[in-house]
Amino acid sequence: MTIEVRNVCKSFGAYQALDNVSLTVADGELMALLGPSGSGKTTLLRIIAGLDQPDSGEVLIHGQDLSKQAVRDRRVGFVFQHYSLFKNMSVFENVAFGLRVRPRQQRPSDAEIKRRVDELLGLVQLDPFAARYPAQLSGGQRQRVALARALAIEPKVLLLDEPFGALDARVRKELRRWVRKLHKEINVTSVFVTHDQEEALELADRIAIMNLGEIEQVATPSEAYDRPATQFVSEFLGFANRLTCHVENGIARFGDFSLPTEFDNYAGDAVAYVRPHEIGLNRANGHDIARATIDSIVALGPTARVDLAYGEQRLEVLVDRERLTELGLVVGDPCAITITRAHVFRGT
Amino acid sequence: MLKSISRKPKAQKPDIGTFETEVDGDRLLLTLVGRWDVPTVMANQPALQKFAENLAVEAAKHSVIDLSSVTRLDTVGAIAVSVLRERMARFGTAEITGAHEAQEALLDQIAKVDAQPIPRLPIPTARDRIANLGKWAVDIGHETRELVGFFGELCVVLFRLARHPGRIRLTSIVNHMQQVGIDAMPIVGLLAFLIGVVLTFISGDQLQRFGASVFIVNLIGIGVLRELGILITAIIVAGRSGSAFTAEIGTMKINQEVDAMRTIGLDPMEILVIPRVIALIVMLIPLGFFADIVEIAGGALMASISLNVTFTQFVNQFHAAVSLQHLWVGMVKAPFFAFVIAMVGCFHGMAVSGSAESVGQQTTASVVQSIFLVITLDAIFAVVSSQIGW
Repeated sequence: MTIEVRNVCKSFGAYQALDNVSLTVADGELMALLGPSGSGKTTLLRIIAGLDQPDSGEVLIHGQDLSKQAVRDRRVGFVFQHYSLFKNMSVFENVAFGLRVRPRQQRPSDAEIKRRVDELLGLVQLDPFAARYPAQLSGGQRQRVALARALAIEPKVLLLDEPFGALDARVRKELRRWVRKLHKEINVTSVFVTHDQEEALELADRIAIMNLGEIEQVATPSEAYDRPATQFVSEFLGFANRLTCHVENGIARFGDFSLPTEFDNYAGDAVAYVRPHEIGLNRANGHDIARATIDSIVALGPTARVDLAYGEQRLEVLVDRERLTELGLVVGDPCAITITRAHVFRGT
Repeated sequence: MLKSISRKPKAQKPDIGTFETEVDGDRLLLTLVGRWDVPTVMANQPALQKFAENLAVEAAKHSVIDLSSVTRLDTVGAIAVSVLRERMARFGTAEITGAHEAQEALLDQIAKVDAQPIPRLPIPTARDRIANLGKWAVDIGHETRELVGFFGELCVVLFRLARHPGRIRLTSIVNHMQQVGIDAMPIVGLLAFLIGVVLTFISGDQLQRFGASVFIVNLIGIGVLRELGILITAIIVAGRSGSAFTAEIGTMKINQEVDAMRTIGLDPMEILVIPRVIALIVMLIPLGFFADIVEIAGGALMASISLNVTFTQFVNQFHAAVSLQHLWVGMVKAPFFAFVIAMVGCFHGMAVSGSAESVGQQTTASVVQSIFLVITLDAIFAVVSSQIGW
C-alpha cells in the first residue's frame, strides 16, 4: 500500500504547521520523518492517520482518500510516543480490543481472535505477559504491546510517532534493531517520526527531512548525508563545519582554500559545509596550503575530535587516534589541513 | 511612628538609630548615628522619605553619607543607605565615608544586586476592561457553538446506534450505571434527607404561627416532587458524575488513548460518550425518585418531631393533597437533566488538550456549566408546566 500526501497545508491559528507538503511513500517502504521539534512532522503523521484534518490538500492511501471513509474502515496502525495503552485492560485485551469491537459480520470468532493475538504477542516476544496490565510492564515492553495492538487490526499502513522517544538509550537501540527486523518480516508500509538522526539513518529506507513545515529533502540515508540538498539538511544531519566563503568563476574561496562548486554563473557570498572527517590533518612542513593550530583533542573511542583554530574560524576534525599518534600532534601544535570535500550553498 | 514609640517607652529599644543632615552651600552631609537595622529603618521611614523627596530643593551637588557613628548595620539598613545614595547621586556626586570593612562589603553586595522595585501590575484601563468583556462574549459564543455542534454529533451517533443496536456497548453502560447510579445513592440519600428535615423545620415554624402545621405535608410533598427532589439530585450528580466524565475522558485524551481508539477504527463517541449518556439517562430517573422518597421521609420525621404531625396524619394528608401528577412533572425532567449533564461532561472531556492542567480547567467548567444548564432548564420546565396548567 502506498501513501501519497498531496499539497497538504495545515495551520494552527497564525502558526503554519505544514506548508504545501507533498510526499510519496512506496509500498513496503520504511520512511522516516526527521526534523527538529516544531518542524511539523507529528502534524503530518497525524494527518496521514486521519487524526487531524488538513486545511487543504489530500492524503491517499492505496489511492483512496481516507478522510472520506468512516473511522472504522480506515485501518491505520498508529503507535504513540507514550504508548497510550488502555490502562484498564490486560495486555491480551489491549491487543484484542481492535478486533473485538468490529461489527458482528466482520468480527472474527473468539478462537480466531485468541489465535491472532497469541501470534502477535509471540511476534513482539511478549507471550508470557498476556495477562499482565500495562502498569506492570517496562517501557520497552509497553511500546511492543502498543505495536502489537497497532498490528492486530491488519493495518494498511503503520505509523509510529517517536516510538522510542520515551525509552532509555540501551532499550531504544535494542528496540530499533528489532523494529527493523519486524518490518522486514511483515513488510507493511511504515512511516515513523523522529528527531533523532541516528535513529532515522539506521532504520529508514528513506528519510524526509522537515523544517518549519516544509520538506527539505527526501532521500536515502546515505544520499542525504553525502549530498545534502539544502543548508538546513547539512547542518541538521550530523555535524558539519560551516564556512562562509566567496564564489567567483565556479570556485569558492575560503581562506587559502579553493573549493570546486557547481555554480558556473554565480558570483557572491556562499556557505560551505565540511564534515569533520572531510578535513585532512598533517604535520606542518612549510609547503602547506593552509595551516591551523590545535586547540584541543578529545578522544572518542577509536577516533579523536580535534578542534582547530584556522584564523578566526574554528574547525572540528575527526581523525583515527592511531593516525594522530603517528603524526605526533599535541595541543598547541601547528598543523597542515586539507579539505577533501565540501558542499557549497549560495547565500549567507 | 517615632512619636508613638516614644510615648510607649517600653516598646522602644534603648538605641534606635537616628540621622542628621547638614547643608553647607552645595555640600550635603548626612550622618547616621547608632544602630541601623530593621527597627531603625522602620522608625525613620517617614522622615527618610521626606528627606529623600526634599533633596531636589536642597540641590546638593556633593553629598556625603557618614557612617562612622553607626554601631550596627544590617541588610535592610544597608539597602536604605544604598537607596539614599542613589537618590543623592542624581544631583551630583554621592559618597559614603566612615564605613568599616564589613559594612563596605555589605554595601558592595547590595549595590551588585539589582534592587529594582517590583514592577507594579498594570492597572487595566477602561478600554482593556471593555476589550476583555468583548473577548469573553466571543469566547462564550464559540463555546456555545461547539457545544451545539457536539449535541448534533451526539444525536447523529445516537440515531446510528438506534439503527445498529448491536454496536451499543452494554457492558460499558452497565458499568457506568453502577458508578453514576448505585454508587451515588448514599450521598444523594443523605443530602436529600437533610434538606427534607431542614425545609420542614424552617417552613413548619412559619406555618405553626397560623396554626396550619398540617399544611407542611402539602408544602413538602408538592415542593419536593415537582422541584426539589430532582433538582437536588441533578446538582449532586452534575458535581459527582459530570465532573468524573470530564476527568476520565480528559485523562484518556491526554494519554492519547482517544487517538489510539480512533486509529484502530473506533469512534470515541460510540465507545466513551454514548455509554455514559445512556447510563446517566437511565439512572437519573430512579435516583431522582429515591431522592424524592428520602426527602419526604425526612420531612415526615421532622414534622412528627417538631410539628406534632404524626406519621398517619402525614400519610393521610399526603394522599388527599398531593396528586400523582406532581410526581410526573418532576420525573419527566430527569432524562433531560441527565442528558445535559452527561453531554456537558463528555463535551468538556473531549475538549481537553495538551496538559494535565487543562483537565482541571475543563472539569471546573463542566460542573459550572452543567449546573447552570440544569437550573435554566428547570426554570423553562416550570414556565411550560404552569402554562399548560399542570
